[in-house]
Amino acid sequence: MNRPDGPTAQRWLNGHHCAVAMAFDLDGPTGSDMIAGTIWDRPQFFTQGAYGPWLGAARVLRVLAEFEVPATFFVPAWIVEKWPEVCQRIVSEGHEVAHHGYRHEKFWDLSDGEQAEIIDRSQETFRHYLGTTALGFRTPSGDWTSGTPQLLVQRGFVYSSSLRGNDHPFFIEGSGGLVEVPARSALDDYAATAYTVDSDWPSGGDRIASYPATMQRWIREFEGYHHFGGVMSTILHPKVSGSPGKVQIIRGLLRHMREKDDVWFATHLDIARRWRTNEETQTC
Amino acid sequence: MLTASLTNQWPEGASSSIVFTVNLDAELGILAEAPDAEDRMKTLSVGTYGATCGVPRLLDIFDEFGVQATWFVPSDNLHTYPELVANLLSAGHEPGNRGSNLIMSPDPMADLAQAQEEWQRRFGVRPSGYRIPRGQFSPDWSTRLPAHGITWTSSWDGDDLPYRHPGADVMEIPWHHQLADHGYFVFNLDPPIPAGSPRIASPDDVLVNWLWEFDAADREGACTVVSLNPETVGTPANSMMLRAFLSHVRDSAAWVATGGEVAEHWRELAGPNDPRHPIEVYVRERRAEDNAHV
Repeated sequence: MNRPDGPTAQRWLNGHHCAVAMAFDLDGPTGSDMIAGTIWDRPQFFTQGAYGPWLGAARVLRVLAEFEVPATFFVPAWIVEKWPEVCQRIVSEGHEVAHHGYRHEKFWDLSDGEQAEIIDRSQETFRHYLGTTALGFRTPSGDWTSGTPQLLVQRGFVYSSSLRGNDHPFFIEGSGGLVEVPARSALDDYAATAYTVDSDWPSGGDRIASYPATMQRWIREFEGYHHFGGVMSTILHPKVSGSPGKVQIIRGLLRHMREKDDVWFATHLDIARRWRTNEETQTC
Repeated sequence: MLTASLTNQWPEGASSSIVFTVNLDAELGILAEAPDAEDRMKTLSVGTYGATCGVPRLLDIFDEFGVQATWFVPSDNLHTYPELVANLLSAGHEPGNRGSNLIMSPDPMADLAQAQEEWQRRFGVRPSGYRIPRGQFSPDWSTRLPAHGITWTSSWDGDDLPYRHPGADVMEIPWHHQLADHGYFVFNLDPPIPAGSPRIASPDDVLVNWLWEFDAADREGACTVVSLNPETVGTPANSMMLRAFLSHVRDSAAWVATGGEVAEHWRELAGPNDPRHPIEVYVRERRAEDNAHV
């Protein structure tokens, strides 16, 4: 799979060297503090999270439009209920919306029944507010239980983008055909520029990284995919990367990637579908 | 929703606004993190440095660039450092209420009132702005602020423009961690502050982050809020970073103003908060949560 001798066209990518699937997790203030109820004593923390759907997402959309790059937004359904307009705008501007729990629940702590309830309730919310249902799923915080992939397949989901274990898509074994489009933690803005207090992130108080160094690091990640092939999937958060200055990191990354003419920019759904089609025709 | 849709929102055609806030915490910041530092002179002196070197250096730099800042001073430091406070007031800076110290108060509004009395008693002024010293400001307290002479706060996040407290005639000027120097620079080896002993950031990196934030916010017409701690930004090297930043701001068309000036300007200009505003969603959803548990 690795081709150290130089960029090689990927057959399944119609001759492109790699694919870029920009992904934004529009978590807002959802997550452990909301589920535990502690967020209601933390208005500063809440407003910092709500900055994402309120302002950050609009800035991200502007940058995506500037470079004509499609993206996937993984949105907890609670966010769709509270900020439907920005979520509708995501859809109307041609991006994909996909599942990310109802309030960013940790699925590995939940029974199959509890997981199914969250997925079904979220799908109903998507249908009601956005007039569409999702075919993709990113597990909040990544980890799931052995039953999760089957629950997704039974409900018509095409893919997940939850794992880290490869540079290319792959089938989740035993799921009945769920495609995994793995993401990379090095392309998670929590590992670079996120900073909150009470609740603390990073827990040890590490510093916000240099914006230009972060941009350069993400460009290096892209160049790695461009060299070896594969699908680059990000884990960016509008509440983190949507500030006036931090969205410039994304602009710089997109500008760099757009200079190549052998890169396929696509949503996770389009990538998952093409990969599955290719696998199926190959095995005939 | 994006600020670019508003034009001429700052006085005299300024492109954006920028507020420099200073938290004059000195030893109180260290003591809040490590109470046993009372008897640990090295650790305590990490805070003392803000008073001995940081404040005079900041006052010189602000003077050089003609900047009037808002200084949030815990009222315990009005006793400990009366000359520094007198100096910043006589230089025309704006005083701000930061409670009495940085220990979490069981009743932050009583603490605020007591600090306000100390300002009045010792310096004959009553600050109009408040930044909560520890913990998070509850909108339940907003209606109690005007009685103490507080007309604006800088305690929340959620926006790049000022906004209104729900249900009270009080403005909020939100601040952001990426524009606060303390989180980049604070360091004590033992006891470890920050807890994970991260490497200290390079002032060059912090400068560039701030320039990226300011330049983009300036293009959008937003309100940039810089938060400074004299203990950390007041060192020779870091203060040179601040000078470079101020030099850049001076060359822009931004309105450099105190928190009070921006709050009053925005109070006149802006309508009610959008129902989707983070603070409105917070108040609404918390109420729904409370009702669900009744």
